[in-house]
Amino acid sequence: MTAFRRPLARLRALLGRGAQDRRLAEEFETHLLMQVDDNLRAGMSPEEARRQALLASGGLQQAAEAVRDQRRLPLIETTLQDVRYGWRMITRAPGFSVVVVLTLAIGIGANTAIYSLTEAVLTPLAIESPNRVVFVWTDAAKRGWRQLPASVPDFEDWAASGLFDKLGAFVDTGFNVRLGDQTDRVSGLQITADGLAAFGIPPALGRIFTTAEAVPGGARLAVLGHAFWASRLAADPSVVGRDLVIDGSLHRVLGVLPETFPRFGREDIYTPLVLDGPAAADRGKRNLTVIGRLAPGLRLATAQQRMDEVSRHLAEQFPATDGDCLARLQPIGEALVEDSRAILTVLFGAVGLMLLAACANIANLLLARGTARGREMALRAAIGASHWRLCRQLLTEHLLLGAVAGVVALLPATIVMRFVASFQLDELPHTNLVGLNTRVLAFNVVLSLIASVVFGLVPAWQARQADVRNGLKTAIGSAAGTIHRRLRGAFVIVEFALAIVLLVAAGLLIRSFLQIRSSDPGYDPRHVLTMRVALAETRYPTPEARLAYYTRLSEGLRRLPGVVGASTANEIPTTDDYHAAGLWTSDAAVARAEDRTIVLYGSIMPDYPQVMRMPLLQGRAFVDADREKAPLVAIVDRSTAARTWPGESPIGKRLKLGSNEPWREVVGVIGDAEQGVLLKLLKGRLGQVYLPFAQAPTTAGSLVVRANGDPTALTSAIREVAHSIDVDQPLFQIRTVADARAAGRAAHRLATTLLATFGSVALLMATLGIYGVVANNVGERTREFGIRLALGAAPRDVLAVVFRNAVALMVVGTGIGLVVAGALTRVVSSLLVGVQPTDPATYLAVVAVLGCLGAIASYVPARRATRVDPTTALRSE
Amino acid sequence: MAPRVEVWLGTLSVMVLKTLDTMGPLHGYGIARRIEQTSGHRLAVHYGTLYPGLLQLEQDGFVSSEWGVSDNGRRARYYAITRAGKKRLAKQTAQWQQTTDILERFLRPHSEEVS
Repeated sequence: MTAFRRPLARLRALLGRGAQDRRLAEEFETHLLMQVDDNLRAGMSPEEARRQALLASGGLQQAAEAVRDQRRLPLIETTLQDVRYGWRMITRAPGFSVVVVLTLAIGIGANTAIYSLTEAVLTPLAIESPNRVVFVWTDAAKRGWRQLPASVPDFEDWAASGLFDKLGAFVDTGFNVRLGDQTDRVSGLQITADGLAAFGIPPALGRIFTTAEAVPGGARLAVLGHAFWASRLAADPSVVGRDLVIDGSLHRVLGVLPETFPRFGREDIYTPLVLDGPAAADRGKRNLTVIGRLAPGLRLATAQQRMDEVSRHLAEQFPATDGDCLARLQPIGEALVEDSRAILTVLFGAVGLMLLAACANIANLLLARGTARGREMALRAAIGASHWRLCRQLLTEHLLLGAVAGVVALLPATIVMRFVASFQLDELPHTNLVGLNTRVLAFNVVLSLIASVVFGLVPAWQARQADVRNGLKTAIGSAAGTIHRRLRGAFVIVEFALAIVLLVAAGLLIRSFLQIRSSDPGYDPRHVLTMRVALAETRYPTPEARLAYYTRLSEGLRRLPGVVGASTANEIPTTDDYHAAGLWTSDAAVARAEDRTIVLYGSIMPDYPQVMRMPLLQGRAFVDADREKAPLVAIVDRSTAARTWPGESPIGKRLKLGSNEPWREVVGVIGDAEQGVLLKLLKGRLGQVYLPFAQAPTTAGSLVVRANGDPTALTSAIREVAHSIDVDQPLFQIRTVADARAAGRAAHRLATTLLATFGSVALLMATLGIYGVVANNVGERTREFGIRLALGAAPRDVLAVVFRNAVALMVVGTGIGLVVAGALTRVVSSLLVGVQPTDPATYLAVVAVLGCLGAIASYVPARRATRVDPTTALRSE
Repeated sequence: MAPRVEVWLGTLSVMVLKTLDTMGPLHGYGIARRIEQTSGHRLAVHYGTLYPGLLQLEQDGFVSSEWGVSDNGRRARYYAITRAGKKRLAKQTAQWQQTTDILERFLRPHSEEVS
């Protein structure tokens, strides 16, 4: 009871301290006065009475202290005192504190953001036994193709193998969805019922479709993704069972998937995939992504072995299409991570390096400050502060700094998270949903606290070491000073090395970005707007209807004021959606399937090369007469011509794209156009064959509109034209061709921007670091320089002494940085286009920038050394 | 005036409680004077010792205090013994009596050590 009551009363006293102090003062006063009264009554003079009273009562101040000690919790009391003192020290040197807090906050914040993202992306999916859900890819090893999609017959043979509990397939498409009076393009999957069921995630609302429902001529059904349902349908649960206009016809909404359902892109709508039609029988037409759940009790390795047997069997049976093919099982988690690995590795590494640089910078700053405070510590030790008390006070001070930084860090953390999410990378799905991971934040705060506390305690350690009198006399023991100097030098080296690594990586990315922007794409991307249309097959079932639509649209656009030309192709060069085929020619027989040249093919309207300003090198362009019933023709690009018919004119030669395809006559040669980034990374440059749009009309097409001036000004007029032709066929992905070129590089842009930012921060830190070290050096040696100058040294000599030291640090740091950068930049190589990871120009530029800034940062304080007035310097200590 | 000894630590609380028990509510100065008086002016009570002691007793709940007015019209804080204080006093009185009793036996010049 007592043991409990006393601390409570003390705590109360601690809180209401002002009142307690007043009471105490009053009681003392009363006590004193009563004593005086008594003394007066005893006949003393008033002065004597007061003097005696004071004597009898003992020291007033000690009494007050004794009462205070009794009244409070000493630990909390001294801690509060430490906090107050710490806060005073922090606010007394605001510049220093701001730099420390900002450095820490940026390091912690950025790190927390990236780590939170990484953890969220890498967290196992909310799938029932996720390791058993696998993608089935086809690898064609000898041709160097990986992760090919599957053909319908292959898929059906796999499904019959008995290795899978459920095996499904999907095709990545999109849908024209009408909501209210507006039709929008929404991405989605056509997926078999088993494909949707393979994930083992029950829908959040309603149900998913069954295999029995996904048959030719079956009902039109749809399942909605959670994001689409929430954002476009206001999360209205009554939508289940209602009809939605998708691709111009009514689809019954069966259910809504939960938020945790994994997305591979931005798919929002799932409709049943029906496997029929002529393509379903062609083993060479690969367009299915296959996903399945392994049969119960079957291990992944065993399943892969048995799958290899199936592949061998198919290869023997169908050498023309499956000869070189091997089906590979990839667990879904791994597949999702694979996409994000490159970008995450780069971001993760960069942010980690920056945190290291921040810690080095903090350590450097604290050491510098520690040196300056050595005297203060010695003084406090001299007047009786215990070593432990000094340590505790410094500890409190740095914990306080860390706490402030931790709070401030929320700002950069949020900014970085928002920034990354704004890129909406397919590689980093759901980033907009990721919240700050408080555990990661705490970990980072603790990490940087440890760094700052360790180095912040140096002055206290010194106060214990140093003889108090010496400490007071010379501010700091010279031995300890040397250690400090060495440590700080080491930190500057580390900072320079880190800055070099980050800047080289950023520089390489910027170079490759410039390369992409400036290199000649083979067409003129300026003033060209592009947009896509994906015709609903139900509304445009025949090639004639599709051709008619695109012809009408192109003509309508051409008539708009400000438009120089407008045309249609099924894909423009910037796309990563490629259509590839083997190239057959009449001249040479190819013995083995894997030796056959792979080319891209696409169809274009006659004036497409003219609108895009692609040079016609030989022969003729397509004309309107190249229609369906006319002789089949093709145009090849220069590299295909040179590779296939070296030294000959390709005009009049015959080619076909697939063994069952018809022969076509080559009528022209056109210049090479730059291809999509993804493709370039995957295969290098492939040849391109163009077909007349009229002879191979597709449902989806890209329009190109060349304008006189700013093409984006035409957007609403263009939409109106499309609207007037068919309300239900929306235009989407409207952007300039220049933007489209960059769009495939969003991951690249994100990495470039973040690395450049982190690199600049590291650069700033390194500059501050070298400045601090040189300034400190000059400050400590003022006396020495004074003597040197007095003895006749030229200012230049003094400058050289200081400078030599700084340059040595920078050279060592830069050297280490270059070596590390050379080893590490391989990580970014997957994001580089047209630049080698060892690009000497980048390395030189980075070294030059860092060298110049470092030189300036050390010259400014070094010059101060030459201005030392010998007499003042000698007198100063 | 004979040199006075400062009140011993540990004994102050029992003296304060006893004083308040016999005299009723008293202010700090009164307590100090009374203790000095009772000791035959052989003890001196400084307020550096007294007030921390009083505060501790109050925190422990053995005394309570409130503002009042002294005989010569001064505002003073009056301390009174509580029920817990009385119990404590009884217990401590017994303890002290035992202690002094034992000490006395030890210190008596002619002890009956040979039994």
